[in-house]
Amino acid sequence: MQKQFVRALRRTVIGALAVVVGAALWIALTLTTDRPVAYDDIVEQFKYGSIGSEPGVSLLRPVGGALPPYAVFAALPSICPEKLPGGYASLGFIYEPGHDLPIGVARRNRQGVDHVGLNCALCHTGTVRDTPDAPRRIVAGMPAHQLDLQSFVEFVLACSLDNRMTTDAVRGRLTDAGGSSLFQRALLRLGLVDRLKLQTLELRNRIGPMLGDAVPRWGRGRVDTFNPYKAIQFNWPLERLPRSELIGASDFPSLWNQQPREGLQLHWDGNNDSVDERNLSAGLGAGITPVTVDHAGIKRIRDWIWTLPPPPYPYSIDRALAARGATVYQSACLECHGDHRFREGIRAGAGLGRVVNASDIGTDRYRLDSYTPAFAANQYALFPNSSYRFRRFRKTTGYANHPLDGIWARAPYLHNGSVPTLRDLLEQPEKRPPVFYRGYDVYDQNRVGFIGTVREEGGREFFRYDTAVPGNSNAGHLYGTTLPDPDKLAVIEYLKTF
Amino acid sequence: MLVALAVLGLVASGLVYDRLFRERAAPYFESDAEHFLYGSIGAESIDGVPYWIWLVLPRVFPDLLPGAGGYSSLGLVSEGAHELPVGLSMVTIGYPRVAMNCAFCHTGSVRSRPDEPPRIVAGAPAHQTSAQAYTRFLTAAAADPRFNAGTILGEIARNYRLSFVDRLLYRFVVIPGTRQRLLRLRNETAWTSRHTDWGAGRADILNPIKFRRLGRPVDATVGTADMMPLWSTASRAHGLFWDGSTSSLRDAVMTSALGSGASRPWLDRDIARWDESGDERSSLRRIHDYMMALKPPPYPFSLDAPLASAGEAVYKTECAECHAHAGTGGGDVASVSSVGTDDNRRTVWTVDATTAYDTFSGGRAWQSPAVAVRDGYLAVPLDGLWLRAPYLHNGSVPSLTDLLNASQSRPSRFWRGYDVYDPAKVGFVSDGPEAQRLGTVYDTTQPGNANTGHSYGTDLPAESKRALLEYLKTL
Repeated sequence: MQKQFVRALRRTVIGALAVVVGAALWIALTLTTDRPVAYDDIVEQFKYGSIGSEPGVSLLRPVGGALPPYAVFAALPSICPEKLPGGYASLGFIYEPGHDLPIGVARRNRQGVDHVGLNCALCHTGTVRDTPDAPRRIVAGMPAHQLDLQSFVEFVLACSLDNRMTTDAVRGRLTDAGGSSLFQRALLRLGLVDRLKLQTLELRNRIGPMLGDAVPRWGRGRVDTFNPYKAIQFNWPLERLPRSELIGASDFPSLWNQQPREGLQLHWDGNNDSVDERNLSAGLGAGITPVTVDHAGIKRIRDWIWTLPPPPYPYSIDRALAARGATVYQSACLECHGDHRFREGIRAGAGLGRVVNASDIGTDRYRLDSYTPAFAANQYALFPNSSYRFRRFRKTTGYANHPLDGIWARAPYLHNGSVPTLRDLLEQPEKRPPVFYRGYDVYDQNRVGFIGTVREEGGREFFRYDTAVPGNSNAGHLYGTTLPDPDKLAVIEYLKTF
Repeated sequence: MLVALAVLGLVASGLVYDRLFRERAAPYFESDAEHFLYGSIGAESIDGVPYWIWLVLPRVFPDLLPGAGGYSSLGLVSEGAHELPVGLSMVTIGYPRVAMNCAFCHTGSVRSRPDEPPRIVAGAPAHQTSAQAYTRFLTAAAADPRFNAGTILGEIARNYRLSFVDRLLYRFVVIPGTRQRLLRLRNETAWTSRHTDWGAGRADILNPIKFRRLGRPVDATVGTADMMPLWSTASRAHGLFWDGSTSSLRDAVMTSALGSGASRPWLDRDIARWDESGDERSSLRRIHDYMMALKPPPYPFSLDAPLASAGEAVYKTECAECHAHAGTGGGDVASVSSVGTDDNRRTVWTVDATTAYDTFSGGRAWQSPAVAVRDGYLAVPLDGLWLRAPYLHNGSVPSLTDLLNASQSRPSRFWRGYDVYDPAKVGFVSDGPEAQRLGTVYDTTQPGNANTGHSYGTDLPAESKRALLEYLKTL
């Protein structure tokens, strides 16, 4: 009897120990998970693969990331429907069949949580339609001229902090797609949502001075590259900066054909001449940090965009006219912008990739002034004590002459995207449209750029771009504006071949 | 069992020694110029702040800085080639530690226009740097409840992955220890709050030695003076420092290193290598040699040559006697009673301090000859004069134009530290919204800040002043 009892007790204790050890092992294994969703196909990887912009390091004090976990991210539009009636798509997010997340949003399981993070494709994948009824062409590497990033950030912050965003609201919306594991359900019960709200508040406090209408809105297809970075990476109190320094919205650039760009002055103001540093710096904007970055993931994208060809102009080109345009271009544009052979890696033009003083170009100077020597000084300590540390950033005095490969797909033009079409760019500033709409993706083959007169389509509102607003000036870059009309048309035809 | 415990104990104490105390060789910089900007002068063991803590302090305590911009808001300048700003060195003593070197106070920043990147001039006075505000920032952070292991490790985790052992040591030893050291520094520098603020580009280097290193009782003397340029010291056998209290560059370098926090054992070791060569060379010897070869940068703006040569004649009759290297009174100390400038700086190094210093440095290789209280200030050479702004020993006059006006007409309130140059007045822009936003206010009515005296040239006719000003740009 007693023997039996002892044996039973022993069995129970051993069983209980096994359960405890098993549970501890399971938790330990879960907490050390770092599993990105990856794709063999590089274009899929670019669109949906992770660069490490998801939160990591610790469950209690997560590092990095700009988005809530998958389950919350997916639930937000239905939790706050009136804040985003058309869902993420209405902000210019692109959905493809077979994917539950839009292009530019990657998944990664870190510490047992299905996280989502932004990747390069979000701001660098554009859409083009030939006519309002035509299907959308999705062009990887093209500026996401349709994307309203600022409204997206504002929506995620506002809805995350909304009273309706509760544990129950998230639990009621869990799907098998992600976030429904036992571990994550347990985390939800243990106050994941409250913790998330605290982190969201902290983020909102940091970038608050540039949200809403505190400074001119970025609008579709634009981002202020460096000001959020001052707040998020360095915790600068933005409200102590002169307000003018907080105006820095500029156009998303294209990602293709990076190899011949190495050594040119990159970024609109030419503040860095290293493609790799520029890539990492852009990744910080997507939510990576020096400790959570996935260098291997970024390397894959880097190797791909190194030789990614610019997309050929999808419509007919008058070759004879283009040939005539080449001659005009040679004398009017080549010196600074190189020529059509840049796509083959040939860097023509002594001024290509060099900075011209802002006073000489005459374009809007807010973006230039938003990048300060003090900021560069702070950047030098990013990726500290590693071979990735930033060394190449420099304050400049103007804007860089960029190569024009794939220029047809890079509309609107100038660094702040203040001129809708190439035809408008070749007019004197007074004759450029003072107000137009950004984000509509039907192409204007006559003027070369997107149609800028459509305010709204199917409930999707486009961004009213007012060139009178600080930071939005369409002045300057008078080159070619005095050419005779036939020459302008010829140059434009030639530019289609880039 | 016992053996295992003993082995474990040995390993643990080895680890602790390695991560907390073991001093590694300071990073070696090939050129003397790099060494000057980033090399160690031995201040890490006393005042070194652990690098990872130093890195995140501005991000945890942005409200304790004078503006947005991290350490840049204190006037520190950076070049991309180095992780640390100019004027800070890093040495691993257990853990990497950051401390000041000479370049902290002797590297200037200058721009010709607000939208230009700054030009960093090694050896120029760091007119833009607030050394006092830097120390105050570190010590204020230590006194703040946010200076705790949780907050600081949390911020470090956003930048760098410390190993598990390091995290433990940081949590229980390094962070609390750093806090204690900084709080002690806060006590040791508490006297500064009863003195006039240094502001940008000025420092009181003597009183910290007197009160902190020599343990003399705090007195009311004000030793605040302009940071000096380091060029053309080779020709200055007549005297260094504002009061000309030494004529040996070697002594000047050693005293300054001591004032910047170099420890005595480090000084002993470094001076013992004074005559070595190659990478064994003494750190201070390298700085000494760098200074011997340093030349002032020429005036970068346009010059009116005929006007300047007319000005040379004025200079010869009005200024050369005291200021020219070869002048009859060249480099002599002029008494305060004759020059009339602020008397405070002169009186700091008291007889009591001299005695205490002799005891402190007695028998050491770096001991300097006793220094007596001087009765005035050195008529300093004027080479690179354009970059020596603001002027007079206490930096009380923003431009040469103002200096050529009678003291009543000089600005009584202006801003120091803004690095945009004003070629019309010959000095840095010292008023206006940006100068006020980025600079520190200078009030000439505060003790030690008088802008009186040095009335030489103030009653010259306007035309002669204009010519003289033009000539002074060429120096």
